[in-house]
Amino acid sequence: MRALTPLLLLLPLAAQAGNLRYAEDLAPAIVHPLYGSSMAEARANELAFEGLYTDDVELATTPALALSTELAADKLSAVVTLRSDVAWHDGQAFTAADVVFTIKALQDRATASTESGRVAWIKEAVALDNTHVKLTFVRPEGRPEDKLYFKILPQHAFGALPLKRTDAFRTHPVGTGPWALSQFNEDNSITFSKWKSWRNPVGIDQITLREVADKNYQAKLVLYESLEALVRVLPRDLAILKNNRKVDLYPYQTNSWWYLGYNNKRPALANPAVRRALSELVDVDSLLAPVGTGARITGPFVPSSPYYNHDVPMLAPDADDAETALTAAGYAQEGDHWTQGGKPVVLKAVAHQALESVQEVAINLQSQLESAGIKLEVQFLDDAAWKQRVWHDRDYDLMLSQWTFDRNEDISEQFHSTGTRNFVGYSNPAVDALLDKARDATDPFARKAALREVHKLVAADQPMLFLWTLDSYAAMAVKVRNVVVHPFYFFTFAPQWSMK
Amino acid sequence: MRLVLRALALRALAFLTTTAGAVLLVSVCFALVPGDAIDALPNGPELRAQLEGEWGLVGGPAERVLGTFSRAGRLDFGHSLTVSPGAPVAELMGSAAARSARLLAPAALLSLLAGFAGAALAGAGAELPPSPWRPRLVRALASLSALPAVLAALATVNGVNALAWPLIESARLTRPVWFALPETDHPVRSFLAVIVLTGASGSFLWGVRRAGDTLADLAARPFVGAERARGGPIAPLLARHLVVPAARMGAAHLPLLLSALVVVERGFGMPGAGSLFWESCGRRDWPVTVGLAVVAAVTVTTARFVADALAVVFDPRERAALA
Amino acid sequence: MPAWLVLALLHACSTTPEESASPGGLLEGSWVDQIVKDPGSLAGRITEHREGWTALHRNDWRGALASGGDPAARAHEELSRFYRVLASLDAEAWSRSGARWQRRGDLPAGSLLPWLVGASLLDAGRDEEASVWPAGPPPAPELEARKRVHDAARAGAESAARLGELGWSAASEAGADGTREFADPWLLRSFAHVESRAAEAQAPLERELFSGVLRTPIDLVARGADAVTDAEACREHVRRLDADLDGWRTSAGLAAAVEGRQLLEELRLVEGVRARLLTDLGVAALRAERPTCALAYGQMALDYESPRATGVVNSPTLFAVVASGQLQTGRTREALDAIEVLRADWPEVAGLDETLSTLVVLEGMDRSGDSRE
Repeated sequence: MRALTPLLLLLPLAAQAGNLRYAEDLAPAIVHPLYGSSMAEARANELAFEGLYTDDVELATTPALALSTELAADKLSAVVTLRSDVAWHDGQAFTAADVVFTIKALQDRATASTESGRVAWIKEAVALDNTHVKLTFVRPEGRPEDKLYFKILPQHAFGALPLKRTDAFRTHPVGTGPWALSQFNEDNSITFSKWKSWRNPVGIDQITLREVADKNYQAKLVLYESLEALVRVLPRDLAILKNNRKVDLYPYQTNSWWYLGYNNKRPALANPAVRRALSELVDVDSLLAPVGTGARITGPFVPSSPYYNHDVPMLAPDADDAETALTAAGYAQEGDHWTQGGKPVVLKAVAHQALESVQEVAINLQSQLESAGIKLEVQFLDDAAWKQRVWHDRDYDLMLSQWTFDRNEDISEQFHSTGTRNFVGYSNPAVDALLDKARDATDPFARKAALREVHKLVAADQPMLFLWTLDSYAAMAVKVRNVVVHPFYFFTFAPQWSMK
Repeated sequence: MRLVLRALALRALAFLTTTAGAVLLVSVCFALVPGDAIDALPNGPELRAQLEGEWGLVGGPAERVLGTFSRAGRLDFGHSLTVSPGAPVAELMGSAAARSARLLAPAALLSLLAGFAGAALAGAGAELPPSPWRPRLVRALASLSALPAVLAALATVNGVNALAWPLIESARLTRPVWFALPETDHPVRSFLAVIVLTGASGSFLWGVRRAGDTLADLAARPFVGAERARGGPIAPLLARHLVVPAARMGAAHLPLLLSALVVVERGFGMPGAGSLFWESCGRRDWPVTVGLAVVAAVTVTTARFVADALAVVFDPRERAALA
Repeated sequence: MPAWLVLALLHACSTTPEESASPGGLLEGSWVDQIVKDPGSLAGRITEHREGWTALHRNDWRGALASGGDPAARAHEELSRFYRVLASLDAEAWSRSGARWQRRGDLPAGSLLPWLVGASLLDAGRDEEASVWPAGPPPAPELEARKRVHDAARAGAESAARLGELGWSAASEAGADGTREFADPWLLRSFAHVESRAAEAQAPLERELFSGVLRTPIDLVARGADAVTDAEACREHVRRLDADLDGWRTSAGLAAAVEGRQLLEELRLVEGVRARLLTDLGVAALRAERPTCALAYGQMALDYESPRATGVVNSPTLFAVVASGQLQTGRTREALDAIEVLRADWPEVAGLDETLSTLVVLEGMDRSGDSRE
């Protein structure tokens, strides 16, 4: 009994350790902060790597690998003081050289990093000593800490620049984060183990990322207690999870909305009146009903957005108005079909197959338009085919998809005539001017006013039919305690979690 | 000797044309399908100029196909682009193939046994006492077999879990190690996957029909009739003469099994060549897909070659034809 | 030391003390229990002002006001509390906006904003914080006129309807890039005063029906060591409450007659009382300056099958609690989600919405953006 007593004393601690299993649709192909291409990879990177700064639980910028930043009077440079008590997962010490190396690697075009934009504002990085880095900026920066979130890499784990995806680092990533990647498993799952030398206590011993390709199945695995966390619950699974006492739901904000984009460059759809007529033939509420809980939108923002213009009315289905507009545009109704130049109107729609419930929505949309006399052919495309058809070739008439924005909700890339993500080919000089004004505005009132005006103009032009925003929830087993979820990266506060 | 060499040369030619055909098919598909590996990257457009050359994506479809052939001819499968960036394709294929073999081998054997057993139950090749349940059983199994592999896999996984969970929740059953499917690597999961692979997508029915024809053909042979007239045992005689037809049947069935392997591995969440093929197609990782196509072609042609070799060894008619 | 004693000590150390529940559970003997056991008694309780009670059950307080009597009195109490929570939230939004502008260092010279921040904080009784901002009489005539209406309303000389006519926008000024419109910093607290006065004038007799009031009062749990553990403590509290309620529902369901079970399901009596109870706890947590706890109670109370609408479960105060918890834990953008639900039915919330949205924009400026398809 005496021998057992110390062991018994350890029981409560053992009860709080454990393995947290969570699901992703597709396991990361690579765990490497410079080459992340999906949110699954971003979340995995959040476990194993750290930046100089991060968010605290109140989403304010807080030091992580840095201790402090001293900004020069002219705001064109800053000296960042680093922590001296940080070790990489292989035991080597973290130093300023690692920060400089990371910045140079990101800036090196030959590295071909997906994250190179994060350091475009830094002109130069120099290590003053082991714990001080001087950054020189391209333009004056008021708060450089807010941009120092990119993850730091260990210089000693690489050879010379440029970095390559094929470097050995891809199978043995080394970070400073609270968990170290311990194993890529045969079934595509990845195991992360607690990093014993992390500076704060970490409540969970092990985190396992499981690949569960079938989104419909992910919620079931939470119910079966085969998973402890689900990053995003499908709207249709909400009801079964919410009534389960072993699962807690955590709502979070995603600034995400669905749309039916019209290819504004196609002759048939270049006319705003025709686009509006098509929009009026769609009963959006009926499309939304089987998908889940959400809110209709009238423009390129979610209703709770600061930029949402509440004065823009919801577009209601109006078959008569649509008929008038189509007739005025040179279309004719022959029997049950609309025709143009004697030929029946046939529109080709593409939809991103990874979007949950997209098949249901597309089929319902097809049915609605066919009842209204317009034939719709729908194709479901995977990621690469989507990029080819939509991004490169603009080979479609309609596209069904979704945009997700972070807290800035910068829609310039999507709606500015020069925007790199303006796949619908929308162009309105007034909107361009307002977007430029909003981007340059230093007064929040001015930014709000400009973007609300953008909402109004874009809604009138109807480059796309704005559909809805869906509610987002994470699901966590109740045995996971002290949960605070980061709205974008999910695991930022995971070190504080524990398992009962 | 000349004839043997000629036979071997024909087999080698068949091997090369099958393999080349597989590589050609995959290369053409990749060349024609919209999107490529660079499109899988979020800032692909910015990196395209840099990566196209590095990843062998320059030029039109014909150039890419020729490039693929030239690399395949040197047995240089290169490195994975998007599935496991930088990993040698040979390494990926080797481990995936080994895992799939653990499903494929038992499934192939079981499908042979099931086919012949089903045919025997249906009365092919032997006169059995009349029974109402035998044909019903075979019909029922054949109906189940018509279920597509993807549905069968999903139904099995969901069905088993749905049955087990209420018992676990009410503590009438201790949570089994394999629960919930398909998360844990466990013999139960493998067993169910083998069953689905063996029977679904019409596989069982195909086996029963083919075995039935074989047994009927064999039963009609004069030496079988003679043995029956002598009152000797028929079963060992039939068994000896089934080696070659069974090998040929197995080789013919292999392509069906390989195609079903993709959906079965996906449905059961099992890593292997099938799920790797699926993933590499989705991510446009052409080196991996080409490598897997070669492995599949080699597997099928090798199986055929082995069947033909067994035929020469065991069947005097084959030896005579060769002579 | 004997092994059994060690084990007992360990067990005691690793478990939390249970809530002292009344025998048979929290709902035993409550108005819910009475209705389920004697369905006919409900009709007796709501014979007078039936429509008002129906509206109160749905958390439609304006509908309850229209009917008069006890439902109207109860509605005044609810409204008073609702506006008080919103007024505190509004003051917090002003405080954070002011701090954010100061940190940026580009507060427009001569702007009304600093004075409005001070006015809001002063009105909320946060005198120490208000002392760093300009004080004194309103610097603009429209503000002065507005303040007079508020003073009159708080003294009982103006009605809620008059307050409603004021609108959300208190003042505007020209900026370099356009007009800045500022929300009224007194409006919500004035509504709270008016409703509170009306509630005091007409104390209801029927206090239990469709409330979170139970035979045994439920208090807040002990505060956790920090914000995160405090939230967890409150979540654990809700889980214990749920276990109790589930147990009661199962036993009541078995014991009740058909009509009782029907009422239980159709009126969602357990869901409703649970939500009211958790809302009361959330408000208490806010008063105790425990925003993570308040947020935990609020989020666990919400009906996620209709998260954007008020109803039997989701009361307007619940959304106000969630919004307050979100703001005070730095999730300003998430606070807007909750306020958005209220904005459609409560025009007086538009000003708070605008103040919060400006704060969101301020907080987001200078952060690098990211969008994903």
